[in-house]
Amino acid sequence: MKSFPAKFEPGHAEVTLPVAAAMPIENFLNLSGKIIRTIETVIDGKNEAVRIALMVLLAEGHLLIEDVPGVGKTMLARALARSVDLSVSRIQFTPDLLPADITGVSVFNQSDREFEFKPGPVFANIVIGDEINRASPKTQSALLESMEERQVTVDGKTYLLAHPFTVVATQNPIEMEGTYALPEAQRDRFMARISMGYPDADSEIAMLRTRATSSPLDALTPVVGSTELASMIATARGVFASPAVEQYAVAIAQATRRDSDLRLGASPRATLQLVRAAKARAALDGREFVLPDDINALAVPVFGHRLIPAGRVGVTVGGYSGDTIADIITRIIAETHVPLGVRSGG
Amino acid sequence: MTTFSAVRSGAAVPTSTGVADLRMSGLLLIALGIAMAGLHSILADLSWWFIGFSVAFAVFAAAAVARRYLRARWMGTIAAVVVAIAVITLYFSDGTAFLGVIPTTSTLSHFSSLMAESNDSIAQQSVPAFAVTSIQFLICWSIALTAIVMDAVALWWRTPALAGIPLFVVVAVPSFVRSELSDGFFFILTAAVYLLIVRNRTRRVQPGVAVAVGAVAVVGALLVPVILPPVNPAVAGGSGLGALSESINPIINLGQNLRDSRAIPALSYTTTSDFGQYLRLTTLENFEGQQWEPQISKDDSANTVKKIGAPPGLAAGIATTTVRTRVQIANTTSSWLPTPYPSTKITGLQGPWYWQAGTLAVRSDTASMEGQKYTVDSLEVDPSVSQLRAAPPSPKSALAKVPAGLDPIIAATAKKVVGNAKTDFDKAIALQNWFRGGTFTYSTKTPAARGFDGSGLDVIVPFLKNKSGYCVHFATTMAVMARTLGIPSRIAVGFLPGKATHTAGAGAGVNLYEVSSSDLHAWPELYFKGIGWVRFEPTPGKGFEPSFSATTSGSPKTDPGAPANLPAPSSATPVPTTGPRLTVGQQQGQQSAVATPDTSAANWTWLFVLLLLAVLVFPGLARRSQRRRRIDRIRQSFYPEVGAWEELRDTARDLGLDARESSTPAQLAVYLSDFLLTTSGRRSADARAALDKLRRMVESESYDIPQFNYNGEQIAVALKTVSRGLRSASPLPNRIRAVLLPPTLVDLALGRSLLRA
Repeated sequence: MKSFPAKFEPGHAEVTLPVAAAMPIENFLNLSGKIIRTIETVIDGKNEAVRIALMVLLAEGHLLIEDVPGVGKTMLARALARSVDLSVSRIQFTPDLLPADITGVSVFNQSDREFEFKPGPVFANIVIGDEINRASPKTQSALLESMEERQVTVDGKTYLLAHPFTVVATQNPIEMEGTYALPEAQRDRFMARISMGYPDADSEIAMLRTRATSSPLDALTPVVGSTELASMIATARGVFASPAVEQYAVAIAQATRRDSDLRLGASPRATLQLVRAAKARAALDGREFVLPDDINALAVPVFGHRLIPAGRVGVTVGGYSGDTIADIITRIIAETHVPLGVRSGG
Repeated sequence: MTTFSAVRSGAAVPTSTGVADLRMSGLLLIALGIAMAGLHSILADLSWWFIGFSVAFAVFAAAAVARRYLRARWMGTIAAVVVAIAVITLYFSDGTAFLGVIPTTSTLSHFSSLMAESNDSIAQQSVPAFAVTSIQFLICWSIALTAIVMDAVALWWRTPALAGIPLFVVVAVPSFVRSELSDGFFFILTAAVYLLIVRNRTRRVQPGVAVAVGAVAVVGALLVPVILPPVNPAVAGGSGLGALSESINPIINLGQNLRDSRAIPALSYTTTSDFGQYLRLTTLENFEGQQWEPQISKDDSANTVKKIGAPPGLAAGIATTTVRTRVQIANTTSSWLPTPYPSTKITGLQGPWYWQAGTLAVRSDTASMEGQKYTVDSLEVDPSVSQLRAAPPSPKSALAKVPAGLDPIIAATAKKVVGNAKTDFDKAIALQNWFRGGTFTYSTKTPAARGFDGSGLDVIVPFLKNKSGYCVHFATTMAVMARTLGIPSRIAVGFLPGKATHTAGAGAGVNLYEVSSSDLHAWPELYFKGIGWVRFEPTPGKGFEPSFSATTSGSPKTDPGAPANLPAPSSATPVPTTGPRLTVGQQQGQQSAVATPDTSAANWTWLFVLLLLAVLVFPGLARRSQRRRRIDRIRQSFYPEVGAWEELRDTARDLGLDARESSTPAQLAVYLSDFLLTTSGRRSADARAALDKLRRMVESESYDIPQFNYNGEQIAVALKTVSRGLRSASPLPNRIRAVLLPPTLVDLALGRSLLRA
């Protein structure tokens, strides 16, 4: 897996979307349906993962896909990028990858006799970071800081990143040697973590049939333009989250902080991202308001990678803490009352 | 969330809960047993506890077995009720039941008379009360009822915390009586077992219910002593009638028993006679030193009570009538059996009992009279005065022997009293009239105060000087005086007729008498040749004189001042009557007048039941009023969708469905819709449509930008449609529980705001 230097894909830089207005929810539903159908031509039977990936894109977050090799993590990321008319770059993380390999370098231009900035792969709308836990912490943090700040500073000059900007990082939980688990502070920057899981038998058979001839990825053409995408993002952002729903999200987050099975609860940023993701999910359902169901459907993907269990629950290996965290969150949700209406105390 | 089949209680019980159920039954039994033990402060001895505990055991065991093998929780409660009735019938039916356990109509009437008796008994006794049969009956059915309720709430309705309410009622009974009577030790022990019960099966609603139970307990403890009538305080004293059993000679402690102001029920009897019966334990005819002693013959083991020998001295020609008396002994023990004299036949006795030749006293070396129930046939000897006057004197008899060393003043006094009376009978009557004539007063205290308390010969002279004493003094003195006049005499020890309580069996002339410890008595019997032993009554204000004395015109008995026939033994005021023909009606009037301050206490039983009922009915009523309030608000369009959804959720939970507050409207709607699909038909379809409408309404009004475009009336109708659908899809036990004991009670107890935190 030697892919150094990082491979650049065309059109990676300087794609900035114009400020867009929200669109009617019907159009949104129509476009998002197209995207999902397109992605599903390459990823079989993973509807929930596909939806969450799109949701993260629309909510302007970053996605962490955690699973064993060969279940289509990279394929999902690339299909998502392909189906939307956005620039994509892919970085294969290795232990010897340097920060400059991500952010870009200033090189001395002999003809102009000055330093010229050569943007790194981070200057793309969708950045695929493969096996992010293989890089050294220094390199990881270079990517993760740019994720949060959406800008890169090289040699005292600040360069804005593309908009929209989504990092889709993958990590492999079962190889432990030579990996650097992402510290919790950095995991917190990802809006959601999903795991692909193995396809079921039918999907796997269908996959064998379609992959026999050619790579289906090549057949993908963008179905949504960048303008429309910006409009979709604006639409998702405009979804209404009622005080009751906010109250519910906060109640769940606070419960994670109090829970005796958890050593670290959800951060306020987690709550913020939960509500943002819930808005995108509501929009994907064709709704203009968030339901508590959106919140509790997303609690595991959004909170799962941020919480640290108290010693006795599960074993944290490489940041992967398996089902036990999901169980704890499910229990917390089952114990949290769903507020009705805006009355308080009623 | 969707496995509602598992939470529909009332359906089949999974076997895995069998052991937990058994453990719960065991805990409930222990808790009830301990709570019952707390009653020791108001009930004497322990027999009642074992009887009550056996009933509780039977109830819990029957319920557990039925639940385990019939696989339905409600079957357990049915079984518990059936077994409780059977066991109580077995214990108390007194042979009136079919096969011993199946109550018949006569069993029911027997039970109602037991109920009446238990009320009387509670009214008469002071604490600690003696658990006579009727009180045992009361305890048994109360405990059975409590056990059934505890079992039903804990194992049928699956809310073991509520078992604390009946438990509390039992623990609180002593404090109903008087607040300082409750025993903190048993209260704490009961509370500890209760905590185990609550811990045994913790459900999320339990802490709330526990708080509610606690609140009921506190309020109850504050209110009940104020509301309930006070009871007679106990007077510190000796061991009551138990003293009879220790001594072979019942006269020894008689004075002490009489002075004990507690009237402990000793026995009750019905008799076909028009008069109450003097029930004799034994007669004392021998002197052993200074003491009267009963004669005990060693060779009487052949004298079984099936046929008792002829009364000594009774010749043909004396009018007799046979009287049948049924006696029920309470908790008095003695090896002598109370019988009317002269008895001819006794049936129904347990253990070996023999009659003694000569005295006809019935005794047993091994058995005790306690709890015995028997029927005595006896003769009412009715000699005419002329027959008595004609009886030849028999001064040579062994029983006319004057005790050696007797103070001659006694013989002199006797001579002076009888004056010129010719016959033995006239002399006896003269003695009797002298004692009853007003010169002597009845007092249990004077002899003790002046140092002549006792029954020996040495008390006679001080008694004659003080002219005050109790029955033993009168009986001893008259018997000794009769001997100095050459009349054979002896002393009988036993019970006065007691007080007639009511007529059992209208028109049958069978009267029921209650005899208590204060009716213990001694009286002299004098022997007349050809007639036999004749009872006399020298004690003023006690009992009544033999009937011949009242019917003889011209005899000294017509003295209008002669006190007679006082059925209320504690009353020292003589009531002049012409004889023993006090009618039952009069006696009842007298009795109720005496007992008036206590009758309110008889209402405990009903208060106990009412309290239990009120506690049971309260949750359902509270829930109803909450529902009505919510529907009113919905109609007024005050956040109607929220109110409707909350009400819907609570209705579902009341029906045993798993409708949690942590379910989102969509989740709950899916769950309820699945549940409604278990039944088909228009009602179910309507309910599902209305449910969907409500769900959309609550989602858009709660979580979307509020539109306020609702119609409260329509929402109320939709709510009713869904509720009706849910109810008709639920099994019957769940519907009953929803009415009587809604699980959402916890919301009322804690208030919703706490739950919304």
